[in-house]
Parts: sequence; C-alpha cells; structure tokens
Amino acid sequence: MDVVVLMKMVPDAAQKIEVDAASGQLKASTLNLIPFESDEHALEEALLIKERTGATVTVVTTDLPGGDVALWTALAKGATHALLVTRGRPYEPRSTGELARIYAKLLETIPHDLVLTGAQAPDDVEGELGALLAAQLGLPYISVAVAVRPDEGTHSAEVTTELGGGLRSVYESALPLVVGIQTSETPPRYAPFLQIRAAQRSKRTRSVAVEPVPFDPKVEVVALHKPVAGKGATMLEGSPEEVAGRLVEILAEKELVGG
Amino acid sequence: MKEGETPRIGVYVCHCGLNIAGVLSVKSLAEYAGRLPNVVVSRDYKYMCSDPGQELIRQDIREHGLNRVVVAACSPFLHEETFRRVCASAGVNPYFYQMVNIREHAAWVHSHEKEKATRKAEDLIRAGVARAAKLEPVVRQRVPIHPAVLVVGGGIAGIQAALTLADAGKKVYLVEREPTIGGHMAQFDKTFPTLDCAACILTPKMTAVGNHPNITLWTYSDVVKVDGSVGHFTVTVRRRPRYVHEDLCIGCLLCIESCIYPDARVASEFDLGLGKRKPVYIPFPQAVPMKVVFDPETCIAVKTGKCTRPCVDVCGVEGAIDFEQKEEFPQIEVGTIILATGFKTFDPHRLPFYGYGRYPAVYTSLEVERLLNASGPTGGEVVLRNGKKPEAVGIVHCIGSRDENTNRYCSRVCCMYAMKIAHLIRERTGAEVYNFYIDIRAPGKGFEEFYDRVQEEGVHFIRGKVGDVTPETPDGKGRVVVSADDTLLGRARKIPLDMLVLAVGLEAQADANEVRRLFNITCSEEGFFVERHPKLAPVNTFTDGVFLAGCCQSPKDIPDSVAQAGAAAAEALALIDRGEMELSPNFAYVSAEECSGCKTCVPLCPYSAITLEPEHGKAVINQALCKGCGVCVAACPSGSIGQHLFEDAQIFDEIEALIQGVAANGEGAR
Amino acid sequence: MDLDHVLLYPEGKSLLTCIQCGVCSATCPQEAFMEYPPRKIVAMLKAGLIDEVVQSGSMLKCVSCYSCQAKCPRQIRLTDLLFPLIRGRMFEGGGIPAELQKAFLDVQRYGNPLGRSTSERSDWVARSKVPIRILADRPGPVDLLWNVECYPSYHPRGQAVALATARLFHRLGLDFAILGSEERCIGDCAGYFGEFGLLDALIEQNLTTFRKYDFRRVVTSGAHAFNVFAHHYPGYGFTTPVEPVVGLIGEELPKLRPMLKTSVPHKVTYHDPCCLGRCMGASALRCYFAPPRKLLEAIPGLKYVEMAHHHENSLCCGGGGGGMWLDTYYRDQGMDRLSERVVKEAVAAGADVLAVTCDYEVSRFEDAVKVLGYDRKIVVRDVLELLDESAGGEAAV
Repeated sequence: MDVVVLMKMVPDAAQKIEVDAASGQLKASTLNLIPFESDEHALEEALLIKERTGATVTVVTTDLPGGDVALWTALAKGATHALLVTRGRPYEPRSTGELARIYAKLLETIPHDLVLTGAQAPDDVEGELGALLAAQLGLPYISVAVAVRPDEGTHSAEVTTELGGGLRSVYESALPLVVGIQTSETPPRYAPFLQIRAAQRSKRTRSVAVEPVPFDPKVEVVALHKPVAGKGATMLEGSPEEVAGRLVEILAEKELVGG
Repeated sequence: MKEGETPRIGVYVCHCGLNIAGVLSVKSLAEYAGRLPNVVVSRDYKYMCSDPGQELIRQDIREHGLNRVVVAACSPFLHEETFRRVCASAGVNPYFYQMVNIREHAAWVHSHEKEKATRKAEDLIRAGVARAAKLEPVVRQRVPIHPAVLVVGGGIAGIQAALTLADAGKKVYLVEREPTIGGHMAQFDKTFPTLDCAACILTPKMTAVGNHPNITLWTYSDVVKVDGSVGHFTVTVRRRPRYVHEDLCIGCLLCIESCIYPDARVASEFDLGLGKRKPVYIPFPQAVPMKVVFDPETCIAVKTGKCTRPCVDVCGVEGAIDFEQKEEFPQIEVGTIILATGFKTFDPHRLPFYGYGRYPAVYTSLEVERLLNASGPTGGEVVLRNGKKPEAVGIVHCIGSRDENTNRYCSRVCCMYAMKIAHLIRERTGAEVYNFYIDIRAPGKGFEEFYDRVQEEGVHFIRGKVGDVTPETPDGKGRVVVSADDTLLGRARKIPLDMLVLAVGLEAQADANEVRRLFNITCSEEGFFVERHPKLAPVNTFTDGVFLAGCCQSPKDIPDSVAQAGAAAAEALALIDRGEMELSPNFAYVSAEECSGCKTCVPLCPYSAITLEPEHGKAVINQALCKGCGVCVAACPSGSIGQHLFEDAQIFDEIEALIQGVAANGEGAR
Repeated sequence: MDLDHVLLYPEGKSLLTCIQCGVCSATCPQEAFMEYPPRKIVAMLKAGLIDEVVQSGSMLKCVSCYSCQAKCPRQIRLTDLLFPLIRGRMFEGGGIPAELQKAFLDVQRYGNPLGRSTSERSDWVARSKVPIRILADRPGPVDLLWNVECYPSYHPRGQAVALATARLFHRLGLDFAILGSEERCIGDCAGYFGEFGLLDALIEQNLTTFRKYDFRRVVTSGAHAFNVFAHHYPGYGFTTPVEPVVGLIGEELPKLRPMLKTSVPHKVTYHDPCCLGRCMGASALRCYFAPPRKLLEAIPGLKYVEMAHHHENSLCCGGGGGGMWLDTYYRDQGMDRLSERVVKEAVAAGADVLAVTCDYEVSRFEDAVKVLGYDRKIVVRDVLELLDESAGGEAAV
C-alpha cells in the first residue's frame, strides 16, 4: 500500500502579515511559511494507515521556504519518504490548477494507491487541488474526509466524510483514490525536536525536479488587503463592568435577548 | 649478615594452590629466579605458608647459609610477618626478608593472559631480589608502659572500661565533660529488648565509679592537651569551675532548695528542655558525683555577684560553695588512653519537612525517652506539650540515617529503640502506635523476638517512610497529619497523629574532629573514630596506646558498647602487664649532621611525630609516634631523612631492576 | 542519555540504590491519580517493565514539583532526569494530549507556548510609563538583563506584573534592559517534560542572542526560568549570575523600604513556588524562602499569615512539567486541580490575598479562585504588584 501526502506551505496566520503597498503582494519579510493545518491532518491520517497496515507514506511539498523543515518533521513523525518538488529555483506555482498539473506529472513516476491532501487551503478555499488532480489522473475523488480505511485485499477504501449538522456519510471506492482530508481521526502528533534534527541529518529528503507545465491561468490576483472595518461595528471601551453593562443594553435594544 | 658479607639469597615461588600456579608457570619462574644475581637457591612449592613450606626455608638457611629470603607469593599484608618469623627462627634478622606479590599483582589481575602474566612475575621477582640484596638488619625498639590509664567519657562504655581496669588494680582517670557520668543511658527509662530499667542497671555502676579507690573521677572537665606517646602520655585536663569544692560538698542539695529563685526556670539540659532546673542544680537525682553545679550563665551570684546568696547561708560546710573558683589545668601521666566520647543524636531541624520545631506535636525519640522516664519531667507519664494524653502516635524510623542528604549509614539502634518506645507508649497510654519503617533491623540477641512481641501487642507497622507532615489546623498547634506510602499495601496512608516521634539517628560528637587531632587518631568522613582494623583490631587506633570504646567508633547498642569497653580495657591491660611495647621498625630517622633545621617536615607529619630539638634546632622524630608514612622523607629538601625498610638504595635498586626488564622485554613485559 | 541507557550514567545509577522507602510517593501531590506513583516507577524501571509505565500515562500527572527528588534519601534524580526521560519516551507512542502538544509546537515555532507572534512579544512595553530599554534598539552595556518570559510578555495578567516590575526597577534606579522580540522561551516546559531536543535548541538560540549583548547579570521574572538557568544553562557554558526577581528586589529592600508608604491593609499569605525552594536541593542556601516573606512584611498595613503547606512542603500550583497545558486532561481524568487546593488552603489560613512570585501562578490561581467561587474571599497578586502598590503604583512614577 503506497500513500502519498501532498502538503502545502502557507503563511502562518499567527504572525502579523503585511501587504506590500507597491507590489500588492504579501510582504515576504513578514511571512513565515508552515504546512497548512488540513495537510497536517492528511499526514496524520496517512501515518495512522501506516501504523495499521504497514503502508509506505511519501510526503511531498514544493520547495518554498520552510518546505524542508516540513519534510523533516514529517519524517520525524514516521513518514517513509519525503520529496521536495523543485525546478532548480524556488518554486511557486501561481495557481491551484498549475500545482495540480505538476503533482499529476510527479505522480506518474511514483507508486500511489491513496493520495491524501488537505480538503482546503487558504489559497484554495474551494478545495480544488484534490479534484483537479483526480481529474488529471483519471482517479475517483472524495473530499471533506474524516477517516480513511483502505483494504489491501479488496484494493478499495472506505472513506467517511462529514456533512453538515453532525451527519456523516461513508463511501467505498476502488483504489487508487484521491482524498481531501478535513480532519484526521486523532489530532496530529508532535515531532520531538531531536527526531526532526535526526531526520535533517539523515538526508532522507529527496529533491525531484518537475519540468514546468504550460498552463494559462484564467484567474489572476488583482489586489490583497486587510479586512476593512465595516460601519456596523461599535468598539466598546472602559472597565470590564462598563463594557458588560453597555453590551447588555445593546442586546436589549436590538431585542436579541429577552428583557 | 655482617658488614661486607656477600648476599646469599633464597627465592621461593608459591603455587598458592591454583591461585598462582593456575595462571603463572611457577616452575619456570623458579628457574628464572635461580639465574638472578646472588641467588643461591630457588624453589617452588605448593603452599609456602604451610608448616612444610616454612620448614623448607629454615632448612635451606641452615644448609646453604642463606642470609636473604625472597618469597614470591601473596600480599605482604597476609604473610610478611609469617616469613619474617621463619627467618628469625632460623637465626636470620627478620628484616632480611623480601615479599614479592605475584598473586594479586600478576596471577589474579592478568588471569586471561597467562604468558604475559608470567613475564610480569619475572619482573617483580627480579626487582625483589635486587632489593633484597640491599636490605639492612633492623632492631626493634622497646618503650616502657606507664600503668595508669586515662578514660575519656563517662557514658556506659567509659564506665565499663574504667571499672574493669580499676578492678584489675590499675589507676584510672575518668574525665567527663558533663557534670555527671552516665551518658545517654542515664536518660533512658528502659533498655531493649529485655526492658531492663536503665537506672537499675546503670546507677550501681555509676556509684561504683564514684567510690572506687583506683578511679579519679573528674566531671565537668575535658582533655585539652595530650603530649608523649604510647607508654608515657602527659595529659592536661581542664576542670571547669562548678563553684563548689567537690571534696567539701556532701550532696545534701539544701543549696538548691534555698536558691533565691523559688521556681525552676532554666531549661534542663538533661531533660532536653522538657523540664526545668534552677541555676544551681544536679542534672538528675542519681547523678555521680552527687555534687551541685552553679550554672555561670544563670546564677546571678556568679554572673553579677549581686545575690544575697541564701545557698551559702544554708550550706553546712564552710567554704564548700566558692564563687571565686577558677578553672584548673591539672596534668596527669598515663601509659594508655581509652576514648569513649560517645555520640550525639541527629538534629531533625536539618530535615525541616518533618516539622520538628515547627509543630509542637513533633518530638525526637530522645525527648520521648525523657517523657517515659520515671525521673523525667513528667514522672514517666506520656503527656503532650498541650497537656493532653496522646491517642494516636507515629514513630518514623531512619530520621537522619540511611539518607544521602544527612547520614548515609544505618544508626543500628533506632529500629529497636523505636519498638521499645512504641511498646512503652502503648503500655502507658493505650494509644494507637504506628511505626513507619523502611526495613526492620533486629539482628541482635532477643531482638527479633521483641519485634514479634511488639507486633502482638497491637503496634502498627507500616512499611514506608513518612514523606509529608502537615498540621491539621492552620495554626499548627494541634494534631499533625502524616502521609506515607504503605509499600506493602501499595496504597497511600494519611494518618492524623497527636504525637509524631522522630527516631533520630546517632552521629559523631560535634567536636569529634578536634578530639581526633588532640589524640592524634583518625576519624571517618562522618566523624566516627577509625579503628585500626574493622575485624582484627576493632578497638585499636592507628596511634599505639589509644583505644576506642562505644559509639565514638560507630553507632552501637548498650551490649556492644559494654563489650567493646571490655575489649579496650583488655588491650590496655595487655600493654600494662607486658610492661613495655615493641615499636614497628618502619620509622623515619634524621641524620642530624645533614639536617639544616628548615622545619619543612614538621607541619607535614600527620602524626605530630617530628619536633625540633632545642639545642641545635634539628629535627627529631619520635619513633613511637612515627607510622612510617614517608611524607617527611620525600619532603626533606636536604635528603637528610631516611626510613628503615625503605632506604633509597633499596628502592632505587628495585626500580632499576624493573626498568631493565622493560628495556629487555619491550612491550611484552607488561 | 535515554531511558534504555540511564543506568550507564552516574546520575542514573543511583536508581539501583533505591530502598523503596516510599517517601517519594508519600509526598507526591498527584499520587492518588497515578497508576504508577514515583516509588513504583523506580521499581518498574529496575524490573525492566518501564514500558508499562510509559503506556499508563501516570507520568502526565507529574507536575515536576520536586517534592520526591528533594526528599529522596538516595538523592535519585526523579524530577529533573528520570521522569523527563520517561515522558520523552511518550512522544513515540502518541499518548500526549493535544493541548500540550500544541504548546510544544508553539514553542518550536514562536518561542512561546501561547502560540503568539514573536513580533508581539514586547507590545506590553508601550503601556509602560517608565522607560524600558530594548537591547536591539539601544545595544551598549547594561547591568541587568531582565528575562521577562512568556506569560509576563503575553498574558494580560502577566503583563500587569511585568509593568509593576518595571516600575520597581525604575524606582530603585536599576540599570536594566530586555531582549524584546528577540527573547524566546527559556525552555522550562520542554526540559521538564522530556522534550530535550527542544530545550537544547532553545538554549543554543538564547545563548546566541545573549552573546550579542553586554550585561553583567540576569534577573528572571519568575521561578521556572530561574530554575532552568540554574540547572541547565551552566552545562552550556553560561556562567553569568542569575537571580529571580524576588531575590534581587529582596537585596534592594533597604533602598525600597522608605518608598513603601501606602498601606496595603490585607491578610496576605505567600505560596512558595517549587522552583525557588525545593528544586534547589538540600542546600537551603540557594532557596528563596526568606526574601519574599521579608518583602511582604515590609509593606505597611500588611498582615502576613502562613498556609498549612509552606517552605519546602509547599503545594505545587500544578503548572510545572507541562501541567500548565494539561488542565483539560486532568479534568477529563476526574482530578482536582492543585491550584484549587492551594487557594483553599490560603482561604483556610484566613488570607484575603494570595501572593505569588511564579510566572505561571497569577493566572493559574485566578482561574482556581473563579472555579471555586471565591471571588469575594481572596485575590491573587504577585509579590511585586503588592510592593508596587505600596510604593504608589502607576500614579507615583
């Protein structure tokens, strides 16, 4: 059983991110790239599969700053292989469509029964990556998954997905299969620092050059800016007692709470 | 051998059964030795130390005219003396003997490489033979022994030693720091495991000491200076003023009654502060000597002179009370000394989490001994500081013992006295008593039986040391709650107690190090005096003529202290009865003509054996004190100090012979 | 060193001398909740059954309070060596609650367990009315490097203490500076939970920062950083003297005393943090039992009372050794919180103020006060806040 996890490096929202007024891009100096949370869950789900079935887990990311650390961490957590996709210089696909084509090309060269990726990403809120990739490869695709249980014998997998309102649905699909992971069955594990350093020293991450894929994006980023405070907001100031008192008044005024 | 005589050496290689012969090729060693210079005869034999082995040497001395003997066998600690006696018995000076240790140094440490081990043994034998050629005859010196004995410390050990010697007709000086003899034993009510009344068995002995014609008893006194060495020590004693002339005081105690202070207000040292005394007092009713003491700290007559002195008025003996009395420093001559300076109990303030001094419910075991004692502050009733009788009592073993943070050793007596206290408290109050222990150590005669008995009486034994003591109420004045891990149940126990007794361990006296220096002996890191050999010379010290008895050597119970006191007395008697003592030949000597009097050696000597003779300012070494450690020999800048048995020529020849082997054999020799 | 080879080291060999006296378990405040309390852990290790202990989760309940280690008659290094090693092993099995994992990840990423941006670390400085020098802005030599630490930097209640500390430093005329956004976690939670790699990385990073500046001594806001400085940093060659802030201010008491004019009419008790007392080992010389008490007693109008557990017997607040991020886990396990036990004792002692001097404690004990519904009975204040109040507070600088 070969599981491939596709991880995406995204700006860390905990840090103050600034937009460069001149270029209209995010200011590189304020960016700290980390693997997106859903991708961490995808990795965790893969590691759980590995623990249950002895599968091989190959983790893939592009060589953005921090990509190497993400791969060392994945190895420290228990991944079997780690691949850094490069084309000889920092690689930044400008759209999800392009990234899907690159990954499709890469996957032609590596074995894959299950391809896991985060259901969404900050620059892919529609969750297109998995779908586009599946389309490229001609594979089935299931998203918003919360559990993946592959069966080597029948070469199929049972995938649980989360619908709204606490409802869950269970699918069965033949392998190979692309799955968008919402959350893993248990929270992503922690990699002790010593293990990360050991993974770094082990030189187990491999760089794979993928030739640029001609792609003509139909969508372009026109501008980036921070959310603008709307007129509906009222900032309350004062001591906690005063703020609480004022809040009660407002809620009563708008008849949001019973008098 | 006479001056200029050629050395005729016999070499004997011992098999030591298979100890040596199993590793080394003893035959080839004997052959090798036979080829060495000056060697006349060379043999190997199964057990050289056996009678036939010894006879072999004697026979060769007679037949071959040997004047040097080398035995290659075990450590000199084991059999050097044996073979020296063999030499002496065959008419050869015993110091013409050289031991080569091929068992420990070759056979045992290199048992996995036999060939190389044999080469090494060759080296050692060659070196020994070279040294043997340079040996010189030595004559042992003798010193006469003064028949009087000083016993320091008047606890049960000192009392026993003093009485044994005095009963044998010897003059004894017994010096005790406190105003009375009796020591710790006098503070106890009962003794384990027989529950004998401590006073009933101790006070007759104390009285016997006080009345013995051969014993001079000096209490309230301490030794301040010791000069001389075995056979003739000159000892200076400081006699502190008790403001009463002991020869005049008849012990009527009227002065105490009449003291201007109507109530006893001073914390009694003997009762560990649980009881009170007046400024003029006797420590306890059976004190020996029955002579009062005026405490200079609290008696206003001594302190300020401003007192109407009703004590003087009431005293029936003119001049018995003397507020002008001064310290005296009498000097005595003795031939031997017995140290029986005892112990002190561990101060539990050092383990603050047991709450001693913080919560009034917490006591030391010695305090409880006083509470239990019929002549103690409560007349033997177990009453708490708040006046109540305890209903639940805990006793924690190993306080300040078996603990890396305080004392590593087991204090030996605590398990037993803790059980004794448990028994007595239960007997007198009916309280529930919990003994918190790690291991019960009851190895003495009747000890295990006593453990059984106390268990049958319903005393609780919890295998787990108390780890936490907290007050039940925030003011800390009431009960305490102790936590222990009942390791046999595997369950935590939290038990509220009215009284918590800390079974404190035994420690060396606070001034053990000063006493050690005074008497020129050694003490361990913990402060206990070190015996010469733990098994074979347990009451001797490294200083001849100074013996040990009781807890100053290590924690022990009363039977062991008494036995050791008897042994110390016997050792002193043996010396006295012999009348003289042979000194070890291994001592350093000064060549007066070469000594420049630079004094380098004087402070270096660990035994204070070196002085400068006043006339020419040259160093003199007291043979009786010198232990032959060699420090002065090595340190002397002019090379004017030599040492018998370790002369330069002997050592250099030995080394030279060794080096030859290394050069010849290369790496293979090692 | 790891668990399998612990007996090869002298510090580990002392395990073999354990006499199973049970003092460790008896004094452990969490014993009741551990399947394997400390005494059994040593026995299990000696019997080669330590994996059962790792799997049991008992070690998650250890809050590194040092009670067992300080009292162990064999001086076995339970708190700072054996237990961290066992917990380090837990990372392999994934038995570590998510809340705590997140704290470690946040320390890895941001140098603080609160998951806050490094650039915001010195935001609180803007609210100070007294000047606070940040070394990156104004390098140059300085006497005192003040290691502010994470909670005083980021937590609102901690920031209030930090501001009071700055005012006291200013009043005393001390020459001090902070590292600002260059400061990182000192490594306490990592070191005591057994995340030794992270501790190592943090120490290396902090020492690199320290080397950039010229200072004579270090003062730490709280107890935990002081403990790590005292026990781990010297091994990396860091020998600059370090003092906890109560120790430093304690020495300045003669100078401070005349400034303490405002009466603070409260009954105050003080909670001894583990890391200024027990953790200093048998040597009482390095324990900070006396300075905070002396400082409190110097405040006019203040009446000092003692709780049942104090000095070396003090009850841990439950925040050490990762406990700070295990409250949810403890609740799920049905355990009572140590911080609540301390607050109850403080109230029982008749105090209306619980004084603390540990960076975790203001927020921990305030939570406990709220959970217990003791809002009207007692408040939690740092010793320095009380001193600052007596010296006139913010209005007087």
